Amino acid sequence: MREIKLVGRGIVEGRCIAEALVSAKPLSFLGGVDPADGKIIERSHDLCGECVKDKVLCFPHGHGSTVGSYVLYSLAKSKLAPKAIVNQAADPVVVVGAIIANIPMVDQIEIKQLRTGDLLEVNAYEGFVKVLKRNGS
Amino acid sequence: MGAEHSLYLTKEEERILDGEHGWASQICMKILVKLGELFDATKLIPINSAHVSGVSYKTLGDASVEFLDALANAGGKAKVKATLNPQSFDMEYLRKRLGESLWLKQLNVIRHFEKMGFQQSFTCTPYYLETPRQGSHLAWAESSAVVYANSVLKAWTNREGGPSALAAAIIGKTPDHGVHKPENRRPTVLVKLETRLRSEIEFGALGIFLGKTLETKFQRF
Repeated sequence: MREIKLVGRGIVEGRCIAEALVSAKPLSFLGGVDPADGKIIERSHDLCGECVKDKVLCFPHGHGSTVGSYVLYSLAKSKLAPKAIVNQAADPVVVVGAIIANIPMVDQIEIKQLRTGDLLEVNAYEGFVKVLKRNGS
Repeated sequence: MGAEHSLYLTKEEERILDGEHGWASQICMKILVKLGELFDATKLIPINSAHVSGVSYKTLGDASVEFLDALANAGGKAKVKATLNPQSFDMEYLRKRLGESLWLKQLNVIRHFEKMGFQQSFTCTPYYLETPRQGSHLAWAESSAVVYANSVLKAWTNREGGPSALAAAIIGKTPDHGVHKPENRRPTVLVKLETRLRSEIEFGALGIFLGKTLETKFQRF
Protein backbone atom coordinates (compact mmCIF):
# COMPACT_ATOMS: atom_id res chain seq x y z
CA MET A 1 0.00 0.00 0.00
CA ARG A 2 1.21 3.50 -0.78
CA GLU A 3 1.59 5.47 2.42
CA ILE A 4 -0.97 8.24 2.79
CA LYS A 5 0.12 11.36 4.64
CA LEU A 6 -2.48 13.99 5.51
CA VAL A 7 -1.09 17.33 6.58
CA GLY A 8 -3.05 19.47 9.02
CA ARG A 9 -2.32 21.60 12.06
CA GLY A 10 -0.95 20.42 15.39
CA ILE A 11 -3.03 21.72 18.29
CA VAL A 12 -1.88 19.81 21.37
CA GLU A 13 1.64 18.39 21.15
CA GLY A 14 2.33 14.68 21.16
CA ARG A 15 2.76 11.67 18.93
CA CYS A 16 1.33 8.16 18.82
CA ILE A 17 0.53 5.12 16.69
CA ALA A 18 -2.92 3.60 17.23
CA GLU A 19 -6.05 2.31 15.57
CA ALA A 20 -8.59 4.80 14.19
CA LEU A 21 -12.18 5.15 15.35
CA VAL A 22 -13.83 7.34 12.73
CA SER A 23 -17.15 9.15 12.48
CA ALA A 24 -18.52 11.64 9.99
CA LYS A 25 -20.72 13.08 12.75
CA PRO A 26 -19.87 15.79 15.31
CA LEU A 27 -19.43 14.45 18.84
CA SER A 28 -20.56 15.86 22.18
CA PHE A 29 -18.52 14.68 25.14
CA LEU A 30 -21.01 15.82 27.78
CA GLY A 31 -23.81 13.27 27.59
CA GLY A 32 -22.22 11.69 24.51
CA VAL A 33 -19.38 9.75 26.11
CA ASP A 34 -19.67 7.88 29.42
CA PRO A 35 -16.74 8.93 31.65
CA ALA A 36 -17.14 5.67 33.60
CA ASP A 37 -16.25 3.30 30.74
CA GLY A 38 -15.24 5.46 27.76
CA LYS A 39 -18.15 4.27 25.60
CA ILE A 40 -20.05 6.55 23.22
CA ILE A 41 -23.62 6.72 24.47
CA GLU A 42 -25.20 9.33 22.19
CA ARG A 43 -28.06 7.23 20.81
CA SER A 44 -28.23 8.80 17.37
CA HIS A 45 -24.46 8.64 16.88
CA ASP A 46 -23.00 6.18 14.38
CA LEU A 47 -20.30 5.23 16.93
CA CYS A 48 -22.82 4.55 19.72
CA GLY A 49 -21.56 1.64 21.82
CA GLU A 50 -17.91 2.01 20.70
CA CYS A 51 -15.17 2.65 23.27
CA VAL A 52 -12.77 5.57 22.72
CA LYS A 53 -9.99 4.12 24.93
CA ASP A 54 -6.57 4.04 23.23
CA LYS A 55 -8.06 4.88 19.81
CA VAL A 56 -7.25 7.74 17.46
CA LEU A 57 -10.66 9.37 17.69
CA CYS A 58 -11.47 11.04 14.35
CA PHE A 59 -14.57 13.22 13.91
CA PRO A 60 -15.34 16.53 12.17
CA HIS A 61 -15.65 18.69 15.31
CA GLY A 62 -17.22 18.79 18.74
CA HIS A 63 -20.61 20.13 19.71
CA GLY A 64 -22.60 20.61 22.88
CA SER A 65 -21.77 21.92 26.34
CA THR A 66 -18.39 23.41 27.26
CA VAL A 67 -18.49 21.12 30.31
CA GLY A 68 -17.63 18.41 27.76
CA SER A 69 -13.97 19.47 28.06
CA TYR A 70 -13.90 18.09 31.59
CA VAL A 71 -15.15 14.68 30.39
CA LEU A 72 -11.90 14.26 28.44
CA TYR A 73 -9.97 15.11 31.62
CA SER A 74 -11.89 12.47 33.55
CA LEU A 75 -11.35 9.84 30.82
CA ALA A 76 -7.61 10.54 30.93
CA LYS A 77 -7.53 10.23 34.74
CA SER A 78 -9.23 6.80 34.44
CA LYS A 79 -6.95 5.75 31.56
CA LEU A 80 -9.95 5.58 29.22
CA ALA A 81 -8.96 8.48 26.98
CA PRO A 82 -8.28 8.25 23.26
CA LYS A 83 -4.58 8.14 22.31
CA ALA A 84 -5.10 11.10 19.98
CA ILE A 85 -7.85 13.28 18.53
CA VAL A 86 -8.11 14.16 14.83
CA ASN A 87 -10.65 16.79 13.76
CA GLN A 88 -11.64 18.50 10.56
CA ALA A 89 -12.04 21.87 12.33
CA ALA A 90 -11.11 22.14 16.00
CA ASP A 91 -13.62 23.84 18.28
CA PRO A 92 -12.99 25.28 21.77
CA VAL A 93 -14.70 22.48 23.72
CA VAL A 94 -12.52 19.69 22.31
CA VAL A 95 -9.36 21.83 22.27
CA VAL A 96 -9.68 22.72 25.97
CA GLY A 97 -10.48 19.08 26.76
CA ALA A 98 -7.39 17.84 24.88
CA ILE A 99 -5.19 20.41 26.66
CA ILE A 100 -6.29 19.56 30.20
CA ALA A 101 -6.29 15.82 29.44
CA ASN A 102 -2.95 16.08 27.59
CA ILE A 103 -4.18 14.25 24.49
CA PRO A 104 -2.27 14.91 21.23
CA MET A 105 -4.57 16.66 18.78
CA VAL A 106 -4.41 17.56 15.08
CA ASP A 107 -7.02 19.38 13.03
CA GLN A 108 -7.57 20.48 9.41
CA ILE A 109 -7.57 16.81 8.33
CA GLU A 110 -10.04 15.45 5.76
CA ILE A 111 -11.85 12.90 7.96
CA LYS A 112 -13.34 11.15 4.89
CA GLN A 113 -9.83 9.88 4.05
CA LEU A 114 -9.78 7.83 7.26
CA ARG A 115 -11.60 4.60 8.12
CA THR A 116 -12.30 2.86 11.40
CA GLY A 117 -9.68 0.18 11.96
CA ASP A 118 -6.91 1.94 9.98
CA LEU A 119 -3.57 2.00 11.76
CA LEU A 120 -2.61 5.67 12.08
CA GLU A 121 0.46 7.58 13.07
CA VAL A 122 -0.48 10.94 14.55
CA ASN A 123 2.25 13.54 14.88
CA ALA A 124 0.87 16.62 16.57
CA TYR A 125 4.31 18.29 16.83
CA GLU A 126 4.43 18.59 13.07
CA GLY A 127 0.68 18.41 12.45
CA PHE A 128 0.20 15.35 10.25
CA VAL A 129 -1.59 12.00 10.18
CA LYS A 130 -0.18 8.99 8.32
CA VAL A 131 -2.20 5.92 7.37
CA LEU A 132 0.27 3.09 8.08
CA LYS A 133 -2.11 0.23 7.33
CA ARG A 134 -5.60 0.22 5.87
CA ASN A 135 -8.29 -1.71 7.70
CA GLY A 136 -8.48 -5.17 6.10
CA SER A 137 -5.44 -4.76 3.86
CA MET B 1 1.68 26.12 16.16
CA GLY B 2 3.84 24.87 19.03
CA ALA B 3 6.82 27.09 19.82
CA GLU B 4 6.40 29.47 16.89
CA HIS B 5 2.86 30.66 17.60
CA SER B 6 1.80 33.93 16.02
CA LEU B 7 0.39 34.90 19.40
CA TYR B 8 2.80 37.31 21.06
CA LEU B 9 3.49 36.53 24.72
CA THR B 10 5.31 38.73 27.22
CA LYS B 11 8.30 37.29 29.08
CA GLU B 12 6.10 36.83 32.16
CA GLU B 13 3.41 35.02 30.15
CA GLU B 14 6.12 32.76 28.64
CA ARG B 15 7.34 31.91 32.14
CA ILE B 16 3.82 30.99 33.25
CA LEU B 17 3.42 28.82 30.12
CA ASP B 18 6.73 27.09 30.92
CA GLY B 19 5.39 26.15 34.35
CA GLU B 20 7.52 28.46 36.50
CA HIS B 21 4.45 29.52 38.46
CA GLY B 22 3.13 25.99 38.98
CA TRP B 23 0.74 23.64 37.19
CA ALA B 24 -2.49 25.55 37.84
CA SER B 25 -1.30 28.75 36.13
CA GLN B 26 0.46 26.74 33.42
CA ILE B 27 -2.62 24.76 32.37
CA CYS B 28 -4.78 27.91 32.43
CA MET B 29 -2.23 29.82 30.35
CA LYS B 30 -2.07 26.90 27.92
CA ILE B 31 -5.87 27.03 27.51
CA LEU B 32 -5.78 30.78 26.75
CA VAL B 33 -2.82 30.49 24.37
CA LYS B 34 -4.27 27.57 22.40
CA LEU B 35 -7.68 29.21 22.14
CA GLY B 36 -5.97 32.44 21.12
CA GLU B 37 -4.11 30.60 18.36
CA LEU B 38 -7.32 28.91 17.25
CA PHE B 39 -9.03 32.28 16.82
CA ASP B 40 -5.98 34.10 15.39
CA ALA B 41 -5.48 36.38 18.41
CA THR B 42 -2.15 38.21 18.44
CA LYS B 43 -1.87 38.83 22.19
CA LEU B 44 -3.52 38.42 25.58
CA ILE B 45 -5.27 41.41 27.14
CA PRO B 46 -6.05 42.11 30.82
CA ILE B 47 -9.65 41.68 31.91
CA ASN B 48 -11.60 43.48 34.65
CA SER B 49 -13.66 40.49 35.69
CA ALA B 50 -14.54 36.90 34.88
CA HIS B 51 -17.87 35.13 35.26
CA VAL B 52 -17.78 31.36 35.33
CA SER B 53 -20.52 28.91 34.39
CA GLY B 54 -20.43 25.23 35.31
CA VAL B 55 -21.08 25.51 39.04
CA SER B 56 -23.84 22.95 39.51
CA TYR B 57 -22.71 19.47 40.42
CA LYS B 58 -25.68 18.29 38.37
CA THR B 59 -24.20 19.68 35.14
CA LEU B 60 -20.53 19.31 36.05
CA GLY B 61 -20.52 15.67 37.12
CA ASP B 62 -17.56 14.02 38.83
CA ALA B 63 -15.25 14.59 35.86
CA SER B 64 -15.26 18.35 36.14
CA VAL B 65 -15.07 18.33 39.91
CA GLU B 66 -11.84 16.32 39.66
CA PHE B 67 -10.36 19.08 37.51
CA LEU B 68 -11.54 21.85 39.86
CA ASP B 69 -10.09 19.88 42.76
CA ALA B 70 -6.71 19.53 41.01
CA LEU B 71 -6.67 23.22 40.10
CA ALA B 72 -7.57 24.40 43.62
CA ASN B 73 -5.04 22.06 45.24
CA ALA B 74 -2.31 23.19 42.86
CA GLY B 75 -2.79 26.73 44.16
CA GLY B 76 -5.02 28.16 41.41
CA LYS B 77 -6.27 31.62 42.49
CA ALA B 78 -8.46 34.11 40.66
CA LYS B 79 -6.39 37.17 39.67
CA VAL B 80 -9.42 39.38 38.99
CA LYS B 81 -12.93 39.76 40.38
CA ALA B 82 -14.54 36.44 39.56
CA THR B 83 -18.19 35.55 40.03
CA LEU B 84 -20.08 32.26 39.78
CA ASN B 85 -23.23 31.20 37.96
CA PRO B 86 -26.03 29.65 40.06
CA GLN B 87 -25.74 26.19 41.55
CA SER B 88 -28.65 23.95 40.70
CA PHE B 89 -30.38 24.07 44.06
CA ASP B 90 -30.76 25.89 47.32
CA MET B 91 -28.30 24.26 49.70
CA GLU B 92 -30.63 24.16 52.71
CA TYR B 93 -33.53 22.78 50.69
CA LEU B 94 -31.34 20.17 49.07
CA ARG B 95 -29.96 18.92 52.35
CA LYS B 96 -33.42 18.31 53.74
CA ARG B 97 -35.07 16.98 50.61
CA LEU B 98 -32.47 15.29 48.46
CA GLY B 99 -30.16 13.72 50.97
CA GLU B 100 -26.66 14.14 52.29
CA SER B 101 -24.62 12.65 49.44
CA LEU B 102 -25.71 15.06 46.68
CA TRP B 103 -25.51 17.97 49.12
CA LEU B 104 -21.91 17.08 49.99
CA LYS B 105 -20.98 16.82 46.31
CA GLN B 106 -22.33 20.31 45.60
CA LEU B 107 -20.64 21.65 48.73
CA ASN B 108 -17.38 20.19 47.45
CA VAL B 109 -17.70 22.15 44.18
CA ILE B 110 -18.31 25.37 46.10
CA ARG B 111 -15.32 24.74 48.38
CA HIS B 112 -12.99 24.37 45.39
CA PHE B 113 -14.20 27.67 43.94
CA GLU B 114 -13.98 29.36 47.35
CA LYS B 115 -10.39 28.16 47.76
CA MET B 116 -9.59 29.74 44.39
CA GLY B 117 -11.03 33.08 45.52
CA PHE B 118 -14.28 33.13 43.56
CA GLN B 119 -17.15 35.20 44.94
CA GLN B 120 -20.08 33.04 45.89
CA SER B 121 -22.44 35.12 43.80
CA PHE B 122 -24.56 32.28 42.35
CA THR B 123 -26.21 34.50 39.79
CA CYS B 124 -26.76 34.71 36.02
CA THR B 125 -26.80 38.51 36.35
CA PRO B 126 -23.39 39.48 37.79
CA TYR B 127 -23.89 43.02 36.38
CA TYR B 128 -26.41 43.69 39.17
CA LEU B 129 -23.71 43.08 41.78
CA GLU B 130 -21.28 45.45 40.09
CA THR B 131 -21.83 47.11 36.73
CA PRO B 132 -18.80 46.72 34.46
CA ARG B 133 -17.44 50.00 33.09
CA GLN B 134 -18.21 50.91 29.50
CA GLY B 135 -15.39 49.71 27.26
CA SER B 136 -13.89 47.37 29.87
CA HIS B 137 -12.76 43.91 28.77
CA LEU B 138 -14.34 40.90 30.49
CA ALA B 139 -14.30 37.12 30.16
CA TRP B 140 -17.82 36.02 30.89
CA ALA B 141 -19.56 32.73 30.35
CA GLU B 142 -23.38 32.64 30.67
CA SER B 143 -24.69 33.79 27.32
CA SER B 144 -27.53 36.00 28.64
CA ALA B 145 -25.03 38.04 30.66
CA VAL B 146 -22.71 38.23 27.65
CA VAL B 147 -25.44 39.74 25.50
CA TYR B 148 -26.42 42.21 28.23
CA ALA B 149 -22.81 43.25 28.86
CA ASN B 150 -22.06 43.88 25.18
CA SER B 151 -25.36 45.38 24.05
CA VAL B 152 -26.63 47.31 27.07
CA LEU B 153 -23.57 48.05 29.22
CA LYS B 154 -21.13 48.45 26.30
CA ALA B 155 -18.55 46.32 28.05
CA TRP B 156 -16.60 43.93 25.83
CA THR B 157 -16.69 40.16 26.23
CA ASN B 158 -16.74 37.13 23.98
CA ARG B 159 -19.14 34.33 24.82
CA GLU B 160 -16.79 32.23 26.92
CA GLY B 161 -17.28 28.60 27.88
CA GLY B 162 -17.05 27.46 31.50
CA PRO B 163 -13.41 26.27 31.29
CA SER B 164 -12.14 29.26 29.26
CA ALA B 165 -13.73 31.76 31.70
CA LEU B 166 -12.14 29.82 34.57
CA ALA B 167 -8.71 29.98 32.90
CA ALA B 168 -9.18 33.71 32.21
CA ALA B 169 -10.08 34.31 35.88
CA ILE B 170 -6.89 32.60 37.09
CA ILE B 171 -4.58 34.34 34.60
CA GLY B 172 -6.51 37.64 34.66
CA LYS B 173 -6.35 37.86 30.87
CA THR B 174 -8.10 36.69 27.72
CA PRO B 175 -6.99 36.30 24.08
CA ASP B 176 -7.61 39.44 22.03
CA HIS B 177 -10.09 38.25 19.39
CA GLY B 178 -13.77 38.43 18.48
CA VAL B 179 -15.64 41.36 20.03
CA HIS B 180 -12.58 42.47 22.03
CA LYS B 181 -11.49 44.13 18.78
CA PRO B 182 -13.24 47.36 17.76
CA GLU B 183 -13.37 46.39 14.07
CA ASN B 184 -15.41 43.30 14.96
CA ARG B 185 -18.01 45.31 16.87
CA ARG B 186 -19.21 47.37 13.92
CA PRO B 187 -22.79 46.51 12.97
CA THR B 188 -23.19 45.21 9.43
CA VAL B 189 -26.98 45.06 9.37
CA LEU B 190 -29.54 47.69 10.39
CA VAL B 191 -32.83 46.23 11.65
CA LYS B 192 -35.89 48.51 11.47
CA LEU B 193 -38.94 47.39 13.40
CA GLU B 194 -42.18 48.77 12.04
CA THR B 195 -44.25 47.58 14.93
CA ARG B 196 -44.01 47.84 18.71
CA LEU B 197 -43.31 44.59 20.49
CA ARG B 198 -45.74 44.00 23.34
CA SER B 199 -44.33 41.20 25.44
CA GLU B 200 -41.19 39.31 26.36
CA ILE B 201 -42.42 36.42 24.22
CA GLU B 202 -42.50 38.68 21.15
CA PHE B 203 -38.96 39.91 21.88
CA GLY B 204 -37.86 36.29 22.27
CA ALA B 205 -39.52 35.30 18.98
CA LEU B 206 -37.83 38.23 17.18
CA GLY B 207 -34.50 37.10 18.63
CA ILE B 208 -34.95 33.55 17.32
CA PHE B 209 -36.01 34.84 13.89
CA LEU B 210 -33.14 37.32 13.55
CA GLY B 211 -30.60 34.78 14.78
CA LYS B 212 -31.72 32.30 12.11
CA THR B 213 -31.95 34.91 9.37
CA LEU B 214 -28.81 36.93 10.01
CA GLU B 215 -26.67 34.21 11.64
CA THR B 216 -23.46 35.76 12.96
CA LYS B 217 -23.89 39.21 11.41
CA PHE B 218 -23.80 42.11 13.84
CA GLN B 219 -27.10 43.89 14.18
CA ARG B 220 -28.07 47.37 15.16
CA PHE B 221 -31.64 48.40 16.02
